[in-house]
Parts: sequence; structure tokens; C-alpha cells
Amino acid sequence: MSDPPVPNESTPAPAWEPNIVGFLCNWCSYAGADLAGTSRIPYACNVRIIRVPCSGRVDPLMILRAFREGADGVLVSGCHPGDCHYIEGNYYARRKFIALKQLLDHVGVDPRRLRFSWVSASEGRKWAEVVETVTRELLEIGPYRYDRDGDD
Amino acid sequence: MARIGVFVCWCGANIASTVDVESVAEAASRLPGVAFATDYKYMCSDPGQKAILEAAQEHRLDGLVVAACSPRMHEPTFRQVAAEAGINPFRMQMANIREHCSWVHADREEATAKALDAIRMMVARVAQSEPLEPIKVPVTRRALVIGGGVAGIQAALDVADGGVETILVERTPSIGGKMAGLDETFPTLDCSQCILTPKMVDASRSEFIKLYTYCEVEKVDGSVGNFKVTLRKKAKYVNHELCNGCGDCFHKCPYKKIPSEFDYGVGNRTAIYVPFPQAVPNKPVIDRETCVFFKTGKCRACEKVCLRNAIDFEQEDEFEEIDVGAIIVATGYDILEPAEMAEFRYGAIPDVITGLQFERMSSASGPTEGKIVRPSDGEEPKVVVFVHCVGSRDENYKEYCSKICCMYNAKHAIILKHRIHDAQAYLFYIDVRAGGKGYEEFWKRACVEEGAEYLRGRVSRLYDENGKVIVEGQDTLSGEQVEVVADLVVLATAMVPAKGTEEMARILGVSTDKDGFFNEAHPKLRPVDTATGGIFLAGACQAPKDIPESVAQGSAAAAKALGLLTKEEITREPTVAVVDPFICTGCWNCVTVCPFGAPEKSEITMTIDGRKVTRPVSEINEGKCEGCGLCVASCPGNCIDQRGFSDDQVYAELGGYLERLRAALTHE
Amino acid sequence: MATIREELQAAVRRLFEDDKIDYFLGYVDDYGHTFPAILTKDSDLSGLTFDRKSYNNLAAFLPELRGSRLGLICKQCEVRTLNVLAAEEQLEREKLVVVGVPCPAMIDPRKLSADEAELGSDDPALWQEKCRRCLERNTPTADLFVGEKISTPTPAEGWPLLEEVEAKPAEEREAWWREQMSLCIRCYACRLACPLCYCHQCFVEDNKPQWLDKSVGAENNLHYHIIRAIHLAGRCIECQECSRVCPVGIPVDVLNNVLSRDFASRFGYASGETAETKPALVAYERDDPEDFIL
Repeated sequence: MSDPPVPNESTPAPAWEPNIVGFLCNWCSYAGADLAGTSRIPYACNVRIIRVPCSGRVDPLMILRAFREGADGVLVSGCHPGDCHYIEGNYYARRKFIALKQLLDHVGVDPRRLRFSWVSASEGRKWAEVVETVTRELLEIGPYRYDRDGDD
Repeated sequence: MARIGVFVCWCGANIASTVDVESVAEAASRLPGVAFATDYKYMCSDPGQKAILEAAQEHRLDGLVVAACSPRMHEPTFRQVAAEAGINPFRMQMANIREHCSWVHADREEATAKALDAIRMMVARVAQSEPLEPIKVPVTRRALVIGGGVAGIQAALDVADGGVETILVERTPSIGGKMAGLDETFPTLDCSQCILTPKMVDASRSEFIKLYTYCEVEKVDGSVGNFKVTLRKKAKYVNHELCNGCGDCFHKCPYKKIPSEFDYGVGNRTAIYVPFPQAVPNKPVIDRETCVFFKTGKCRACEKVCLRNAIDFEQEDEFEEIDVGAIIVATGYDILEPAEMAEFRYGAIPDVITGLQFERMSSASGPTEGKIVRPSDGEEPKVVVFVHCVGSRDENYKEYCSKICCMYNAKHAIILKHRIHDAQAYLFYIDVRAGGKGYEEFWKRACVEEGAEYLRGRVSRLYDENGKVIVEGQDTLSGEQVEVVADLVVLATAMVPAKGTEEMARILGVSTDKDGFFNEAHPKLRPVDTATGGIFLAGACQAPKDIPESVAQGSAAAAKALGLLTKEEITREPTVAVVDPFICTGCWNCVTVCPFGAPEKSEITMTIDGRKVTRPVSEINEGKCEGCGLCVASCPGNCIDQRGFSDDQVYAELGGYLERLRAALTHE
Repeated sequence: MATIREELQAAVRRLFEDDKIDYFLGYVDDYGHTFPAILTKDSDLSGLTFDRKSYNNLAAFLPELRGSRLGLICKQCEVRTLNVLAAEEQLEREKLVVVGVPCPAMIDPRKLSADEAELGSDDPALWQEKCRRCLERNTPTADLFVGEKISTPTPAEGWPLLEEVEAKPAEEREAWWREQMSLCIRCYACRLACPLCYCHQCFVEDNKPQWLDKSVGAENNLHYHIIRAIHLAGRCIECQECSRVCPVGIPVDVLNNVLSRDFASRFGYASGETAETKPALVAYERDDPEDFIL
């Protein structure tokens, strides 16, 4: 990778790499990620992208499923407030995420595991930065295993 | 088991230099459900497409995954290929291994692994993809144009020219908009009314245009091709069928001191009035708010004088529902209320006026019959200061440039010189923006030929002293403080969306930008469309614009509308929401959240334990559903799903990636 | 003077005699316990009572009796529930006869010793947590009221248990919840007792796709409870029935309270205060906080 996500040179690069699921809205964030590509802005290789029509389509069940199946982090990205292709889908999404985040914080899940971002179709650079940030943070906090031992 | 074909594109070196396409194709061929996998230099090329068609036949494929560029690039291409190959286009998915992979990752091993993951996810998704057929909707061949300014008039004329019935709705008593009130126009100094009124008359005479003045849009339902629009025809209290526009009524009206909206308060009107002499229709309305009869129950002067018995005090607002296939929004602009910017002393000093007020004064048919005078004493001003960027390009008010002010300030300076030969114009500006045909030459003319004094700098203080307005500011070119003792100050106030734009946006279900102007679908490539199909924009409701631009966009919107309305039927993406009525509880979360009014309250009767039960359930109106999936995620009982973005598909996509992780974990 | 018991029985008898209702939802006592009961005009009304052990949120029975003419005892818990159900159009209010009662606060059964005398206790330490927060004891929306109105309210006390859990550092909190969640046997008593869990099919039963594993395990259980709390966001009226009925003693309502408190303070949500409030997650404000969004 041209741009390693570990800024701290004093610690040796860990062999483990976080697995991140990204839910991206079709109209802004997916296009923003496309722009990062056309602009050749390098970023960490850890996010696997699922295209959804709108951030409002993302159900907390999807996010929890991703964790359940082994994701170390989940990133949901949509249009900036006011820019939603569907007028207000991202406003509802934001409310829902507030609730989910509150609950996960409360039960002690590191808040850095679930991140949200607004990335517009013109923010290719921002998309790259968001991925870098999320990846770096997850590298710091390590793999996510809620109860792998007691279960399965 | 599905029979999916995976086609990995090299995109020349764009993908192949970073992703090991051959090993990816090889690994893909071993994925469950994959019947065939290969790689090729350019999948989108003719030979590439042929390869897909051949493989589809040879391997009896029922699904495709094309691992190449972004679906935003080539999804239509490969959907077409799928259709040609006899595969349902909605069982074709693209794995984005270029924009999201080879172009942003340098490490070959990592990029290859990510590309394979993307394919894995899409293979799983295709396996869960139902074949879908596009939804076909018949089109109502009629257009609605909202707003009768020059943009709306042009749009209506052009749609009508295409032989399509057009309903032109204007909320004031006459069409014409802001342009009807202008004096001369830059950069040619054509008389505004002389060029506009023929168009107004054309609009009123066209067999294809139905004109609804004094009328507002109350409600819009439906979607592209089939909108249901409720109009509120405001009570005019004058029967326009009977009225012949003789004008006796308003000459007789005793209440003559009402500030005229059309003249921005420079002139007055009566309570029963025609806003201006060239109005279309040239028939009066009674303003209920100011009419003495409505206030006191006495007067009826107009009724007494009307020989046609056209006055009807009993009239009430009427509602009419119309069906249209396309809507052109041309609601125009207003100016930022200058009184809100206290530093410019508008309202406090009578000889501080707005540019639009100046227009009415200099207009030959205006309240002063073209005489430019000081509102305070009616004297002819000799020194006039024009202030640019009042509220525009100002972070305290509006950040944006209102675009037309530089030109009309130059025009005002020229008109001033033409009407009052010994007058001197001073213009305080930040910089002069004169992009447009003949525009640069025009302001230079004001400057060089007409002797207008341009002072580069903002006005710092305005105050009145001995009947003059003292304007202080800095000339940043000379670096000196300047003070102009003016007879009249004209403010070029910022252009803002017309009053009610926010409400109109809500009614139409289209979005507005941070400044309240309507949002176009794409700032470069779809400047006339909105994100809502079938609704188009024209004129200054989208952003500050001058007359030629507004007219051009009016014509463009008309072309867009005609393109839609000349079709027999239109197809819509079938990626709509579907309710399972057997588990719906009728909580109406979907009805509440849907921005498009697609979920409708309905009922289902079923037999439970031998009992007939009727339950309230939600039902999606496919014609209205835009496919955002918001209702799907808002349904607590998971009773709603979305075709083409179904829970099963998302689940499969997620699983396609995470199963690999799980497998990796068990190997640990 | 008649006791509340006698007054209640007389009132219900009259409702049946006047053919105002087909069913009455109330509480009967037997063997020293107080049970919820659905009574008809032929039922023996002599056990009908209302006391400090009338825990159940009777509104939980409404979906099954939907469409019937129904009388029910409403303490503030039911009043708020009815408002939420009305806002969600799950209720035909005109078919209900709301019988108001002076609510003396419910005893927390976990704190109750064998000593029955405590039932008369006015010691808030023995009350359920919700009752220490409750500011309305006399069924303001009652169609008819039995008993003598009592003066209230006691000062609101906040969410002591939630605050206790929150006071723990994140790691301890995680461990504490993991411990709680590993106890859960997924009997769904919480869902059954909840008057606002009225879906015909719960998301847990959805198997196309099966987002949530049905097998028992701390993470699966946690996810179940989190999604349930989200579905109750801005709707939960804090009747604490979920916690009271939990056979393994998980304070389920603490999760709901995270959102109840947060949505009350952030968005001014007071679920069940009126019959108009829409659930918090099908509403938004343009300036909802988004400091957590990158």
C-alpha cells in the first residue's frame, strides 16, 4: 500500500488489518469514492463497500449483522444534510444513528467502531481521509470480538 | 444453484497493473454459483461485450458480474448486454474494482484481495437478485408552469409551440414578473416592456396555453408523467368573464393611497386595481385587505359604476385539480429586504432607494412617468450614488454574488446621464463582473462615455445631513477616504429566492440549496432538472440570473418537458418498495417518513382462525416510489422490502465478504 | 365510606349493566397476588381490585382486544401508553372507557419481603423506580374516576439504575452488560409484556434474511435488546414491565432509558404526553446534533 495507515513509527506495523464494512449512498458517498479513484488519491485498503440507494436505507440490523459476522468496524456514509437525493433520507438516518450510537456507547462498544460520515460526490479527498481515519483508529483499538469464546 | 458468469476487466493497464486479474478470474470461477469466469482487456469494448454474449449462451448463464469500473459509469452498458444475452438486467451487477480499488491502492496483493472480495460480494448479491421488469407508466400530455415571469412565459410558449397544452399559473394579478417593471435592459438598452409585452400577449392568446393568474399551487401529488396538482384560484371579486377591462371601477375607487406592489411603493394603486397598464389579463382584482367595503361593509363604488355587473363581492377562493405530466418551476426572485441591513439606512433616509425602485421611476410608464426624482422632495437629483453588493458577497448576509447588479448599476448610471444630463453617478463596487455578450463593453461605456465615477471600495457609513445623504467609503485604488454628498442613493440589493420558495419546495418535494434557491439535479450536466423526475427549473428560482439566461433556461426546461410529454409512456426503475400486507400493523411509520407520499393507507381482509379480519395496512404506490428505501429501514416489523436493493441482497453482499472473514477466523 | 375496591366493582358492574362495554380489563386478587384479568358481564367481579401490586401495564392486552368495547383501569403508565398507541393509530379511543384510579405507586416486587404490611408502605425506597419519577397519580384522561384523588406529585428522581451503570468505566460497563446479556434466555417475556411491541411479526422472527441469529449468546442477545430499544426510541413510556417480567432479572429497561432520557433532553421528547407525538425515529430536526459524524 502506498500510504500505510499507521502513522506511529515507533510501534512496529501490526500484521493484523481491520476489516471494515462501508455502507455508501449511491448519490453522494459512492460517487465521492469514485472521485477519489479518478483523482488517484491513495487510501487504506480495508473498507469493503456496499452500495445502498440512500443512507436512510441503512437499517441498524445491517450494522449489527456486520459486527456479528466479524467486521471490526462499520462506516456509513451519506450525503451532507440538505443534499439528500431523496430530500430528507439522511436526516432520518442521522436520528437513527444517534440512537444506535448512544446504545452501543452505553453497552461499552468502543465508539470508534461505528463511524458515520457525510461525503459528497465532490469530496474524493474527504472520502480517502475518512477511510484513513477509520482504519487508523481501528488499528489502534484492535479486533472486535464480543463473545467469540462463549458462543458460536 | 445460480449460473453466474464473472467477467473481469483489465481496463487496459488501469486495473491489470494493480490487480492480478487472471488470478482473480481464476478464483472467481471457483465461487459457489459461478458457472464461468474470465478476464478481458476491455470488457466494455465491442469484442468484450461479444465475449459476454457468447459465454452467456455457451454456459447458459442466468446472472452476470462484471468486475470493472464504477457502475455509475457503465451499469447501463452492461445492463443492455445482459438484456441482449437474455439475462434479466437486474441480475447483472458490477464489482467496482477500478475507482474503488486499482486506482486507489498500490499494493498488488492487497488490491487483488480486495477485488476478489468485491466479486465475491456481487456474486452473492446476484444469486439473490430477483428478475425485475421496468415499470411502465402512461404520460399525461399536459404541462404546468409555475410563475409567469419571463422565464415561465418563455417556457410556456415553447411547450405550447410543441403542441402540448400548458397551464401557466401566476400568483399576482398579471403575468410579466419582475421584467415587466424594468425600464431599459442591459446591454442593449431595449425597452423592457416593449420586448416583453408581445410575449405576454402571445401567452394569453395561445390556443395551447391556459392562463391562471391570481392563482397559487396548493398541493402536488403523483410523480413524473402523472402529477395531480391542486390550484387555489384566489377570489378576484371581479367576474373576468363579464369584465371588459374598461377601467371605470378603479378610477372610481375612493381608496387611492395603497402603495403599489408592482411599483415597490414608488407609486400608489387603488383597492380594485390592475397592477400596471399593460397587464395581462388587463382586468382588475379587488384587494380584500385594503378594500373599504370588506373593512366596513360600505362603499361598493366600483360595483355601482360597473356597467357589466362584473363586480362580485361574494366570490370565494376556488380549488381546481389538474393532471399534468411535467412541471416547470419558474418562481423567480425577490430582493433582500434592505431594511434588514440597518447600516444602509433604507427606510430611515427617504432618499435611499433600491435598484428596482429606481427602475420604476425611470420607466416611462411608471408612477413618475420616467422622471427620476428624490422621494423626499420630488427634486431632480444631481449626484447619485449606486452601491454594489448590498447584502451580496457579504458574509453577514448572502455569501454569493447576485450576478446582475454590476450590469444594472452601469445601466442605471447611463440612464441617469441620459435623463439628467448634468447629473453625476458614483458607483461603489468591489469589482465589476461583466461576463456576458457585450457586458464588458457596456460597463466601460458607462465609465468612459457616460462619465460614471467608479470607486472601488465598500461604503462604510451613510447618514443624512441638510437634506443630503452623505456616503462615506474608501477608494481602495487610491487608498483615500472618500465622501460623496449625494442627492439620491440606490442600493443594488442581493437577489434572494422569491417569497414562498421554501413552501413551494415542500409542496413539490424538491430540495433547496443553502441560500434557499431550488437545487438542480447536477450543477454542470443537469442544470434544468431537479432530483425529482418531471420537475424542471427555469429562471432565477434556481440561482441569480439575468434576462437572457432566464429565457434560455425557460426554453431549455420546455425542451425537457416536451421530451417527456411527447412519449406515450415512460419507464421507471423497478427498484421500488413492497409491503408484505400479512405482517403490516398499520403503524404508518412508512407513511410518515416517505418524502414522496408513496406508501398509502389501505386495508386487507383475511381469515385468521376462521374469522374474517380487516386490518389497516400500508400499500406502496409504485408510481410515486423513488426507491430510496427509507420506509424499508423505518419499518420495525421488517414488513417492507425494496426490489433491487432487497434485504436479501444486502445480506448476501455482506455475507459474501464476511463469510471469508469467518472462514479466516476459524483457520486462526 | 366505600373502599376503592367496592367503588371499582360497583362502577364496573354499572358499565356492564348499562351495556357500555363487552370486556373489562382490570386486576383481581387471589392467593395474595394481584393478577391482570379480562372480565365479561358474566364474570365474578368480587375479586376486582386495585392496589400496589397492580403492576401490569394493561394496555399490553389491547392489540388482542382491538375493536371491542372495552373498559380498563388506567394508571399513568396506561394513560401514556394509550397516547402512544393513539398516535400510531393502533387504537379506537371512542370504544374505550378509561377508568381512572388514584395510583399509590407500585411496589418493586424484588424489594418486597414476605411482610404484607409493607404493601401499605409509603416508603419510596420500596417503589418501582418509575413511580419515583411519576408526576401524575390521578389519571387525567379518565372517563370515570373511582376512589379518592391523592395529592402528588413526588419530585422526579431521574434514572438511578441507568446512572449507576453509566458511572462505570467503559470496560466495566461492557463486562457488566455482557454478564447481563449472557443471562438472557430469549424467552421474549419482555416483548410480550411490552404494550408497544405490537408487531404481528417481530424482527427476530424474520428469516428472510435472518439479520439476527436466534441462538442464545451474549452478542446475539445484546443485538436483540439493542434493536428492541431502537424500535422503542421516543415511544417507550417507561412502565418497566420488560424488567419486571424478566425471569433472569435483567434490567432491560435501562437500555430503553438511555434513549428515553437522551431523546427527552435532546429533542424534547416526552413519549405518551399527547396522542399526537410521532415516534422519535420517524421525525427529525434539520439541526439534530451531528458532532459524531465525520
